[in-house]
Amino acid sequence: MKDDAQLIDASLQGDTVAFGELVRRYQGRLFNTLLKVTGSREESEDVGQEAFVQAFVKLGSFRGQSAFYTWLYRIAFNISVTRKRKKRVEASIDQQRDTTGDEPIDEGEVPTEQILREERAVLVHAAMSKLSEEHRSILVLREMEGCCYEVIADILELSVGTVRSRLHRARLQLREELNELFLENPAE
Amino acid sequence: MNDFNDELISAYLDDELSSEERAHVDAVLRERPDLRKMFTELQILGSTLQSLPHEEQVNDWTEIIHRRTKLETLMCDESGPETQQIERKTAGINRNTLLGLVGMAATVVFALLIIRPNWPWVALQTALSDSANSSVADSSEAMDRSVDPLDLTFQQGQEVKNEEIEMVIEEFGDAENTESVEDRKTAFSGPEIKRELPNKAKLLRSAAGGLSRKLPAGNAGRSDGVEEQDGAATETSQVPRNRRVRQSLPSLENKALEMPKGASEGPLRSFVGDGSTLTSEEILDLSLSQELGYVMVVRVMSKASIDVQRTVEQTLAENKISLADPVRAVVESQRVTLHAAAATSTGLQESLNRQTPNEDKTKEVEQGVTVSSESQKFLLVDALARDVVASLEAMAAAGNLSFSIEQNAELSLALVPPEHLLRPQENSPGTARAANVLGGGQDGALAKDTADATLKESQKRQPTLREKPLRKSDRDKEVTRDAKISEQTAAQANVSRRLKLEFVEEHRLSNIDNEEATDEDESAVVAAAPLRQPLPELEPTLPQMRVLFVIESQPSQNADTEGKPAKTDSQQD
Repeated sequence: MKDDAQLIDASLQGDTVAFGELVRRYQGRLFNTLLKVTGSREESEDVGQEAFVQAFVKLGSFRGQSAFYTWLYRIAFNISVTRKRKKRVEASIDQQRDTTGDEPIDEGEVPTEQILREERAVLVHAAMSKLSEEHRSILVLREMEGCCYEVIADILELSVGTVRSRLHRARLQLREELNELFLENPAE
Repeated sequence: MNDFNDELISAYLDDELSSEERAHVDAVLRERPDLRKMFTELQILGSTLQSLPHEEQVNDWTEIIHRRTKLETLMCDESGPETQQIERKTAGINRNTLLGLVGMAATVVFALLIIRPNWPWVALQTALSDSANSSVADSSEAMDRSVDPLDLTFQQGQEVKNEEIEMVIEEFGDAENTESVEDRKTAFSGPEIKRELPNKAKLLRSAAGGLSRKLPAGNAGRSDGVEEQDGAATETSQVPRNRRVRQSLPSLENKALEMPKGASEGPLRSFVGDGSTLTSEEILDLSLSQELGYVMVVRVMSKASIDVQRTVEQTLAENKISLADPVRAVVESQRVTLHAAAATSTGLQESLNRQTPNEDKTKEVEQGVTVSSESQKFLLVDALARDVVASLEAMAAAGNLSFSIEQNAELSLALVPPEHLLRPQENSPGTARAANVLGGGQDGALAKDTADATLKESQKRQPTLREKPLRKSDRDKEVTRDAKISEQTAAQANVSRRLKLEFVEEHRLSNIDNEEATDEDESAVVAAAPLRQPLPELEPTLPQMRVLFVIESQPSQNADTEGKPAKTDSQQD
């Protein structure tokens, strides 16, 4: 299997198959990340696809100083911000529910653990949707993507110090939002 | 300890502290239960977030990304991502728009290749100037070469079967036309031509390669047609006049017939964004081809596009490719220009406002049309193109002029003040604008009903293309007068615009279509073909309109007195 650099080189040579491989490799991850950030499946698909197209167009400017996915995500993030500014529409909890499905109902047969997990997911998504975009993004990058501060700083074009403080504030805010969840599930 | 920065707790959790900081936080956590609680909660928070289920990605993006990148490539001056470092303003184009674009482009490319098997060569031909010898050979090899291996989307499920092909032949009541429909069917069914492709054309053709390769080559009874066309290549008088031949899938044809002229759907307007990079080989006015049966290539005319054209010419020359340059007669007509530009005045204004009500109108154009976005520009071009073609059609209907299929139009987005298009002596700001309001352009297309009323007013001032053809002497006068007007207005307004109608002998293009056309035939016509006039430099900062059509026209035995326009002074441009 070719690594990213090889695929990028091939893409730059006009090998669209190689770029297609990059798409296949990262589309799922990007989609999931964007879904956490945008809260909308449709928006995530739009942004993700646009990010790949932009990445293709700008591939010549990719210097390989960061991982391809990091670079890709930065493009996606910028697209997302641009679209957000344009639309001025904040994802609502209702939209979040559209994304994640209805809140779980008592179906009797469903194992309790599964219900709890789904309920927790709904609440977390709801809490996330209440965060600002910048807090949501930084949380996703750190907690879900596992990015180190340096990478986050690179993606979001912030200083490492800003990343640290913003991430902490984001966590505290989310903690507040999830306070109820914590109260109900203190052991977790 | 009280001034402890609790941000360090997060950093501690993330293992982003130096050893000294970590030691410090360890000490603080031992002493302060509130911070220990925070640390625990943040730990739980993190694990909660990480445990969120991953959403399943329903759609595989590979194909759509491929289509979109191909579209991006087509819209770029240079192919390949490494040369596309100039950021393209496509972020604002949503997925649906691009999807629609891709689908529409595929459909039209498909239709074009059915309608005109030699396309985009005819379009390319119009972009060429001097031609040398031609090389015509089998097309399949070239098509195989040009097919993108990833281009699965165009290869799947779109195979065209022979029985699906229907030749559509339109008669225009020409008494001289003695051919039967069957004769014409066989005459028109020529396979494609092998030519080396320049990059951009390759790209475009690549997009359609999967389709064109599956077009039937050489239908039964073709030999008759060959004879006819070969004969036509050398004996122009044998070609019947006033006919238009089209080849199309029935479904496309039906769609074309059913589609109202005012239909708002048009691919040009969908080409929002970096329109300045589009070239004639790449932008297709698909709506026109669908509605009218014409293939009309529209491009933004700019200095850059001229350079591109020269590049194409050079590429063809380097590959020893030549397209026989048919005999052309160039007519400059202020009337068509006027009529076309008029469409941009009122109806289009309403159309633009209606279709983009929320956009800021920031750029006022002299004639009153507000252009504030690329999409509006293309609306403008779209309407203009429709209007021009309608004018040509009217000219054909009234003037015994038959033209078919191929036009190559170069428009600089119709930023032409109407007053610049009027005769100077008639050019008062108020009346000039009123006189130019010929209607047409509502909903981005022709609205003939409204146009007719205003057209009458205009006709009082000067004849239009809807009138019967002028006699030669009158026509010469008219052309001379128009040429003078053109010079005066150009000098006065420093605006360059012209309309050139390049009439091409139909037999010539038909012969190009014909795979079995001999080199002898080719060279014979090439030798007879005058050199195409080079495009003059445009001044990029000034509003200007430039329309260049190449129209297949029946060679007339008495072209001086009937529909075929004579060469005019404008040829000297």
